[in-house]
Amino acid sequence: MNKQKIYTGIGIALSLLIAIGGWILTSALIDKKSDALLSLTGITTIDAPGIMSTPGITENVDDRSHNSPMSERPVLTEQQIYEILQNWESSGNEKPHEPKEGQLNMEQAIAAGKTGLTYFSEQGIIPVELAGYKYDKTNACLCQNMIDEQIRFLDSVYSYWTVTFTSEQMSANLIINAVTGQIWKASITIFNENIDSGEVNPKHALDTFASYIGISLNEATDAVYGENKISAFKSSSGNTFNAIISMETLTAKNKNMITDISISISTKTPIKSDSTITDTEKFRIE
Amino acid sequence: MKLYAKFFLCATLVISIALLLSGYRLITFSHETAINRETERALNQYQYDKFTVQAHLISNVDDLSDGLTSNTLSRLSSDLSGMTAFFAEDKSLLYSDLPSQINFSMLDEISDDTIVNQFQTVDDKSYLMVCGKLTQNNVTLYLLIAADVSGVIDQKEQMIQSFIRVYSTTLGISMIIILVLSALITRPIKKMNGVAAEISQGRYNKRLPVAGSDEIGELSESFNLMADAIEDKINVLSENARQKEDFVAGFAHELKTPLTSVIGYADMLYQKELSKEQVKDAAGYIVSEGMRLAALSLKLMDLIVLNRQDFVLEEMPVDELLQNITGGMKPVLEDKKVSLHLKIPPAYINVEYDLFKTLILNLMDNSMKAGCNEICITGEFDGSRYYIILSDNGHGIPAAELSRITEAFYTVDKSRSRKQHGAGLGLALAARIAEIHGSSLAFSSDGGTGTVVKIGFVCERCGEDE
Repeated sequence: MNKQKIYTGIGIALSLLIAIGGWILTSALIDKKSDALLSLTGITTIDAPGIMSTPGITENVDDRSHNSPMSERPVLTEQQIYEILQNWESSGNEKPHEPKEGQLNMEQAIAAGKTGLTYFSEQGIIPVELAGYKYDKTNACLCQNMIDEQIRFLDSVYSYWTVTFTSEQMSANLIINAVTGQIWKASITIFNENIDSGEVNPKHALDTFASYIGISLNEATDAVYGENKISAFKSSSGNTFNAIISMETLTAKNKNMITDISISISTKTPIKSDSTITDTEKFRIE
Repeated sequence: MKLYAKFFLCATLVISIALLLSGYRLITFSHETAINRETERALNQYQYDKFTVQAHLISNVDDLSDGLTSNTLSRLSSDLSGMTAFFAEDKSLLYSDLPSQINFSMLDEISDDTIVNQFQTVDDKSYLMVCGKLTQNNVTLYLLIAADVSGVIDQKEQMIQSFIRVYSTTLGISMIIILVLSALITRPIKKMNGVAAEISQGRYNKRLPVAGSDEIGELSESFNLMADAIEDKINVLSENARQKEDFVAGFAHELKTPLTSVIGYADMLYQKELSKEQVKDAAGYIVSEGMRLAALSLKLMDLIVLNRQDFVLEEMPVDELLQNITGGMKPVLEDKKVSLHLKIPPAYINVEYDLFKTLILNLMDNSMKAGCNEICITGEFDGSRYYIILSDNGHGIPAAELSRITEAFYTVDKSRSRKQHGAGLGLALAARIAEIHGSSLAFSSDGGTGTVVKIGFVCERCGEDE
């Protein structure tokens, strides 16, 4: 075997050695990197990430008293409410966080939820039995909707408490603004058919709800009727707000009647209906 | 090392490094992203669970009257998302549904405003634990939640396994392709090597096939051009060598013949008693052959001088030159009964006088030796050249001999040449002179009715006089 052939053989062997040795080295480096990542102890400061101040929101929060159950809390302008609702309705990731300065703590949020429900029942929006109702279980979570590439929290007013009251006869899921303490969305399910959902004047209910939040609704009230469902909404001039109150009665598998009441304020355009109800017309779930 | 092996080694090296780097980057990035995602998810889950515990403590104040019992915490734990452990303010364990081997040393790193997360592996399972402190209704607890993240580690292992398959397959296929490609690329070079070896062994007519117009094609073309040049040069050198051999042979022969006569007659004079008449004849032969030898040596000297000297050409009137030269030949021409016709348009040509004279005299001498009785010298213009055409009606030269008549010692008819004391050097001398004048002798003859020779000269003022 001449030198040339020996060198050629060495060259080919070296190629294979590089291929195999390279992989072994890479594999070892990957394991090393993985071990390094897994051995790290992460320490997160509770306040981080901090609340990012949004121009025009914090500065303009009005401290004037308001004729509502949370009259001691700041009041937002319609523009602020519109921007916050748009943020809530945007697709994003719900991020839980600790209460920041100016935001309700959990005890306050639960209390605000109860107060709000009492107020709604006093105003005839929801059954009177729900005022001061004793719930078996309560849960609450303070979150903010993190949109797309957003890496820091927005202003405090963008956060919301999700408060859930649960009992055998009723469950209520409330979305409460973390700064104002107002219920902006409520979904109440009544499992007890003895609780009377009562007669509701849609215009009055919507005006009361809108006024509670701080929006003046001055346009026509539309209503959609169904066999066991009725919903009504009203819009505000300028920014489009839709205050929606709907009541629906369903029959469960065990033949029990279930009543769903939904109260919400939104910026989404409602589905157009052909019928318009009058101021005096009442709706009642049969 | 063979060239294909070098290609193979380099390509394998480059492909391996590229694949391994991208694999490393891809796997570590994916693994890091998965770990970060799991950490983020666990931190969020911790916050949700913390809120759940806080809500429980707010809404079930009765539970706190006797302190938090294990049953309460167990019930509470069932409301939480995953494995949970509760610790008292003094960090003593109150409740845990985590594997017993878990190390809770991370508690030491928790402060009032921090949450700590850590990975731990127990029984081949990896856990991501998040722990923090919560205070509600004057109860302080440490809440630790753990999520099973073995999937992340398994995912990494799966990625590594997948990458091994991709890597080995890609590299294997690449190696085969590289091997084939390197063999294809080096094949023309191998062929070139073979042809070069054949040429070196004397087969100068061997050529490479030119396929394509890439670098290899260009190299093949250049190689063939080089081979052409070598073959031409070899042919020229062979021709020169043959001419030298012929020259030496001719010279030896030309030397031998008169010397034989001289020696023979001298021996006869030395050994025999000869009459006065016989002595005179013998001496005459010796003188004649001696003169022939002297003429031969002079012409050889001329040839050597012509090869070694640089000559300066001067502009001269061609008509006057030829009148002058042929004028000196008149007695010889009359003696041999040869008529001369000159038809020379006046012009100035660049010549060296003595060489030009030798050229014309040699050509006329050659015509006379060919037995002509008429010589015509004419001139004509062709652009910047002036051509002198000398024609005779002698025996002519066979067409096959035309290419060799300017070789030294080459004679068409040797017996006739010898009789006329020719040595075959006249036309060789004339050809060399023509070459010095930047021209050549162009002979044409049908081999029976005379010969025409044409010589071109540089003429800067051709036709000006006309």
